[in-house]
Amino acid sequence: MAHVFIFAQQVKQIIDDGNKEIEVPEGAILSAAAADLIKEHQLRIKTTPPGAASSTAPTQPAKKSAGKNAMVHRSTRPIPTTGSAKSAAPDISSGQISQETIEALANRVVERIKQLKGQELDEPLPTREASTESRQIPSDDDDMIICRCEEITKGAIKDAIGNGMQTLNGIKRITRAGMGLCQGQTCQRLVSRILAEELGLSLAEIEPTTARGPVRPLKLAVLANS
Amino acid sequence: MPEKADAVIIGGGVMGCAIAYNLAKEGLKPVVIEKSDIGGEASGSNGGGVRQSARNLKEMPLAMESIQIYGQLHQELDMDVEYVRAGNLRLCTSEEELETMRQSVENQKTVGLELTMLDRKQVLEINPYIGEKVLGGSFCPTDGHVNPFLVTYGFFKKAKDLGIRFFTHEEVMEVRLKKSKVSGVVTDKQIFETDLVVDAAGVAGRKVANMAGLDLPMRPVFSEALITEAYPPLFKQMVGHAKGLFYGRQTGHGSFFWGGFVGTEQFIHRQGKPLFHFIGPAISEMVIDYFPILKNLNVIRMWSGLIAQMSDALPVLGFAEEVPGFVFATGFSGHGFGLAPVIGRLICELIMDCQPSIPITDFCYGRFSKGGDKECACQGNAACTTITAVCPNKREWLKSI
Repeated sequence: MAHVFIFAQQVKQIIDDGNKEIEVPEGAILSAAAADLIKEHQLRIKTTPPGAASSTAPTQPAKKSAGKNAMVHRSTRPIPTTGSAKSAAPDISSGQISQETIEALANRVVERIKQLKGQELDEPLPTREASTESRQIPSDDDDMIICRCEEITKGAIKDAIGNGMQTLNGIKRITRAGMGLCQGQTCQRLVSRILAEELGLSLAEIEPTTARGPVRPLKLAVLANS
Repeated sequence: MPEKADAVIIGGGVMGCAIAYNLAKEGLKPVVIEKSDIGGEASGSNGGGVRQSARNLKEMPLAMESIQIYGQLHQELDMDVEYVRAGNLRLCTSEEELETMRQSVENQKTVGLELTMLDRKQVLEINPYIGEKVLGGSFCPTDGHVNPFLVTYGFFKKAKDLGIRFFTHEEVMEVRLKKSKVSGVVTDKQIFETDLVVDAAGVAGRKVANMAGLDLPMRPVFSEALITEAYPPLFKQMVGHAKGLFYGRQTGHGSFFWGGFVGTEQFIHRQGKPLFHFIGPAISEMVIDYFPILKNLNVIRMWSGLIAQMSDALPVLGFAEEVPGFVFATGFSGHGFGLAPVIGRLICELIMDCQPSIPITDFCYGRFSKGGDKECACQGNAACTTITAVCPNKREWLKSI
């Protein structure tokens, strides 16, 4: 059984109508503001038993009644409303917020959040969970040497990608492709292409390895004097 | 609907992967979120040293246990991680350095570390290639080095085989709290519901802590490294300067790795990784001084990395009391890689039953808020990043160079 609430607005209505008495159904809850208003204007509180016929009391602000549907109530409500625009808003002047109203309100809030986020809340967001599933498909040219300095095959590179490496730097650390004397000057483009193919990206999306000196092998003695 | 996860590990470096692997072995299903590729930051640019010598004594139990785990890591991960346990040689070129080294050797022997002080002759027996400047050094035979990429990749692959999901190229935007407890993690692509977050974000560890309303006295420090072409095997030890100015090794591949630090005075903070043209030459000069035989070897690449440097150069490990459900595993201050396997195990034990087999209370987050260890522990070296005004050792060191 839903509680019956009495809000300040309803009390105000009664005061505006010039009544000095307010009917409060048994078990109804007065809002703090409503209680203040009643005190201020010294209204008499008349307690009515719950479910009592309300049609006889035109000024009764809160109807317990059999009303499960607040919308129906509002249309037959005897209290004159101050403006027709009010009818679009959720009805609180009836003194009762039904389960349906609350649900409708909650749905509207959820819809709005969804709109703001631009996607369904209950669907997982897309993610690049590449590192957990091996997606390597064997092919004939897996024995082909890609990094000539370190003799690293295409298969080894595909293996590293399948294990979750998604950058040239990552592949390099695991396989040594690009760690040799030429520092990837020969194989970096090839490795980039394999990476792009395996991940389904375009070549432009593949980040190059960190560019660092020396550009060519440099003797320790020469570097020390630079 | 937000996805539920037993834990969200932020950071897919060696720490995040090791923690994920250990949790997976216990039957948990954490997810790992990594901003770039697996091992894309410090785990993919460090020197791979696995050492106990020259560590803070508080870290020593962790380091010693880590050596044990590294010994059988190739079996556990089913792959060769190029682990070599052939010692760590720290070289001195002046009487003053020798004296400091003697003290630190004595100090570290007290916790049972096998560490000896060597004179020039003894150093030559271990490594016949050292230059004339070297007067002596310390040697710890149980130290060694490893291929950092392969260790990270090994932990990652093993965790993945156990069903752990890794989300790479995804950035954490928010750590959600409910009644000041961890309740979820929001990334730029999705939302996870969880009551456990592990901050294993390395240099971004402070940023992640900030998301939960916590803060760390951490800052990024720039470090540079270079690699040479391959050369026939010369020596197997990790070698380095007494004060850590440079360090290096010959990799399993044959190339020589050399890394080095710069002082904060030269560090200009910029977006991304800054480039200093003079560090490579500086490292080269030192390498030639210490190992003249290498002077005609070609350098093929230089790179840089960022170190998550804490004010006291110790990591932050364990739960944050202020935010239940938030676990720290960050701030390793440039010497974390050698600890990775043990950290993975300890953080897992902490999460499972709050009882790590090695106490980690020295590394708790509370040490900062309660005004504990704020004294700078450095011996006045370039790696120390405490503000010069605060660190007397560093002031002295700067005067001496």
